[in-house]
Amino acid sequence: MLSFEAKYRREALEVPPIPWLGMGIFRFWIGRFYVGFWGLVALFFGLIGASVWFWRVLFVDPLNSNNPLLNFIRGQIKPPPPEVGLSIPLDGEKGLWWIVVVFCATITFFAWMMRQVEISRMLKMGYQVPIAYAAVFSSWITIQILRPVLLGHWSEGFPLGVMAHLDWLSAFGYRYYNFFFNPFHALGITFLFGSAFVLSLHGATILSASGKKAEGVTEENVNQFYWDFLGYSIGEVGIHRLALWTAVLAVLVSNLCFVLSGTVVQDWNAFWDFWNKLPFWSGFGFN
Amino acid sequence: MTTEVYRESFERRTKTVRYLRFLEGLADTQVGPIFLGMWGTVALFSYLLSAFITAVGFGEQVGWNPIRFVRELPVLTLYPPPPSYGLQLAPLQEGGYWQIATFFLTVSLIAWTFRAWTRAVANGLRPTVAIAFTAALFLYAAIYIIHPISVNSWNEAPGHGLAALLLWTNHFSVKYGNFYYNPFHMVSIFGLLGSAVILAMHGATILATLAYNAHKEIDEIEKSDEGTHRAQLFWRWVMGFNATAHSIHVWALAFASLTAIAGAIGVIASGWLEPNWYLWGCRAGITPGIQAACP
Amino acid sequence: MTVHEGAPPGAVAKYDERQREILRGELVGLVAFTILALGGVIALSMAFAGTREMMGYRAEHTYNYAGVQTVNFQQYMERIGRPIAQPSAEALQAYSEWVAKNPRTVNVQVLNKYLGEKYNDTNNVFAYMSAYFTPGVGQSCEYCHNLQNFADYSKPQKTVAKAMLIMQFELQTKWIENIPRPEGQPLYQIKCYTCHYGQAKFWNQELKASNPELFGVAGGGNPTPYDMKNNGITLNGKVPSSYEVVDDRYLATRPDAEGNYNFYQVTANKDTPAGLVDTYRNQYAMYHQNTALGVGCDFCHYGGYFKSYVTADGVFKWPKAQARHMQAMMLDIALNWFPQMPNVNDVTQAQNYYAQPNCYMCHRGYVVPPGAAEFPETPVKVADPEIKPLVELPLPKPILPTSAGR
Repeated sequence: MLSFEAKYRREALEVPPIPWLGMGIFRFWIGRFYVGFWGLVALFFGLIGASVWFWRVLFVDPLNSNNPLLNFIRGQIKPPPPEVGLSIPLDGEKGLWWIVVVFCATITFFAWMMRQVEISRMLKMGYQVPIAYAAVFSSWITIQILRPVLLGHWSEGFPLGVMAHLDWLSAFGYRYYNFFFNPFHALGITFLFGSAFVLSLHGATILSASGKKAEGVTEENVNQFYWDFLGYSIGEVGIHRLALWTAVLAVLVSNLCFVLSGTVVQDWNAFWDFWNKLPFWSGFGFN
Repeated sequence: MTTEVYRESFERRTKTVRYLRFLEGLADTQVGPIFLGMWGTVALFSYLLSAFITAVGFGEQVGWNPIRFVRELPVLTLYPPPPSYGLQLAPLQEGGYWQIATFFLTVSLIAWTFRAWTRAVANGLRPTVAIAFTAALFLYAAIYIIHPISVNSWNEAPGHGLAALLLWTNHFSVKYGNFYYNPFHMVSIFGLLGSAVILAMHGATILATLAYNAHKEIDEIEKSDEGTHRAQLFWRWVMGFNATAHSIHVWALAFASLTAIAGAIGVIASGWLEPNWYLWGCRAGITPGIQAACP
Repeated sequence: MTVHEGAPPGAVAKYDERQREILRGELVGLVAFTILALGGVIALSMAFAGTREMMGYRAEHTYNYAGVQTVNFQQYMERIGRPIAQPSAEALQAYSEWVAKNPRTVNVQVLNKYLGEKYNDTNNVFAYMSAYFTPGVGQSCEYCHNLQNFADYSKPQKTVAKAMLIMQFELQTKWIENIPRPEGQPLYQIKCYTCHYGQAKFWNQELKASNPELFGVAGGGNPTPYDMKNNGITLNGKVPSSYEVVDDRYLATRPDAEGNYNFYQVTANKDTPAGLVDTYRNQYAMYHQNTALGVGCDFCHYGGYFKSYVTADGVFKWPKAQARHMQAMMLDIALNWFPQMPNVNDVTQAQNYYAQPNCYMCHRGYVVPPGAAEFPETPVKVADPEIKPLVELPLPKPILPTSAGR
């Protein structure tokens, strides 16, 4: 335990459990990990899902490579073929294991989120962390469950494999011709690169001021730096708000970019036709 | 409290200060005063010149018609020289303007780095922001300067324009055998998505412990108090380990810089070192399935 | 030297009552946004679901890998709202008089050569004409024929039609019969309407890039003239007004020593020249093929490695092999056939610029062209056709699955 931890554990256990949120008897720690009801759920389904994945990919050895490490990178569990539709295939060849792993993973991710809720509550913190996590969880749901359901077959989900899911991603983008022209993709990328940018700025800023308190450096110096540099200093609270929203918006906007492809839009190039055809300027050609 | 040295002739502060009321409670509301300074002047001038050259190039393409300019702005492009010119100074109409615009853009970015450096030092901080920016500058240089030089053609740099940048990203990957198989690209993506994760984690954590003043990070680094303790315990209990108020910012800078630096290496390595990343993947044994697509 | 001693209250965000409210509001906002990004889109998609078919929605499993025609000629003409032409009453009257006098054909020169003895019978020729020519060019018999003498060539349209018929059979016997295809995939035939789709002069009406539905937004799919100029795309030495797949480089393509045509390959190796201009050209051409067939890139390509004809699991991509074959056919049409068609498109010929074929010309947004006909009789190869190719273009070396692939 950390030096100050004991009193926080005591305090945490005094927070009354919400009946539907977590059962009291599971409120204990194993080493540094808090267990809790949701921790057990996450552990249980996580182990099942991971075991099925490792078993199918490493040991069933579909690639006949006799090399578990290569199988780890090259192997995959494929989604059910299109003809299965949205039914649950009971045949291993037709994507049963994909359904199993996706099901287990979904429950695990959900349980992980609830676990974060539980621990936030016990530490009397706000729920920002599990809600940020919920945004990412919503991406998983969107890509593996929501979109396949909207399109009517599980085969629209991505294969569970290290390199295989990259092939899927490439093919997915090219399925809709030029995915860079998907405006929600572009907006998502803006927030994503923006996240890296904000992170870099914030990390660098704090590190530039840390340990210099002895010299009398405070947040006022940071403020003045940013007034000089950018004309605006967002402040200690503001930067963390900006951080959370930039990162979360990257993910939420990206959900949109996925779900709209294949359902409403087939061709992201042609999507922009409306711009050319706006009445007040469609009278003359491009040349 | 702060050490500031101004040389009057170059570095007068602009005095305008505004307060954005709608931000109250969300973030600090003060806007300004901004500092111009010598490096700021160089950066501003160079950037405006570069943008002006680009805008003139656009204007030429739309026949100076302002309506067409707005309609076609997303797809207008200032093109780099065709491959036949190699690395020479091309005639103005055939990529020369692009070369000039890119030169001034580069100058403005370098001046911006120096601006970050000098402003930090003038305000009593270490120049860490400037150093962090050099990672991004490295990626910029890799794309616009180092890679084109390595393949002897300015044509491989992106043109200036919105569609131009999007198309360059696609075409670069199409030419070099699918960038998903570039291992440096993989590392960079790990950094990029990891940056989003860490940003969300850190932002959410501080906001969640705002009541305990966790946002006063400089103080918390000096001596961590209740806010940091709760935050640390949260992550320790959830995932088994935690950072400190100081180290989380090291993680932050590391991930963000990794993104840019690994990406830059991936771009630089394309062409002369590895022209076809999928075939590299074949040789490295990482292509999925039974490798039927490998020769 | 802080500036904000005189700052209004609230200028610096700190933790207080107001902050607590804001944080709570923020949480609500985040949850709402997450649900909207999920649930709002469900609603949006369902609202649009009815228009999916119209917008050409094709999930991967509906790509007709089997090459089965999803929309035939009648259905296509209905979709575009163009009536299918029939012989006029006057023509039918004149024909009934003609056939009574001439039960055996007079001066039929093409149909009987390619399709055999059967087409020495006037009734069979009439059946072929009214089934394919009339609907094909959207004109009744008198457009080409002298109704008093059906064998007469006094109208120039008849000379053009005869040349076109020869072209049709030559392309069929050389290219379509030899298209690489998986077992069981049906074979179709070129007829008049495969290109004309009910219009005698179809070129300038439908296939220009002023039709943005066809060619997409400039810059994203279709290049602007500045894009073409800077990426070295010319046609007959000049930057064309729109990119229609065939350009000067395309027209200069010939098979290499192994019989492979390389129209657009750009994936780099050590010897690939520097520059991205070829890739730009490649992507413009590829986008045309997207819109012409109404498929995403992964219909032909393995998403991991575009150069490959097989996926990582060894599935052979027949469409890519077929596309390669079709591109060679398009070169044949551009070099050998269009220039030899008499009076084809007076305007373009006058400008010494021949209309160039493109994928959309036949495919019109479908994998199997709506105008691809199921016709029971296979034309024979004629030893000495009346119109011969100007340039000898061998068939490309067929790309077929190896034993490892499927």
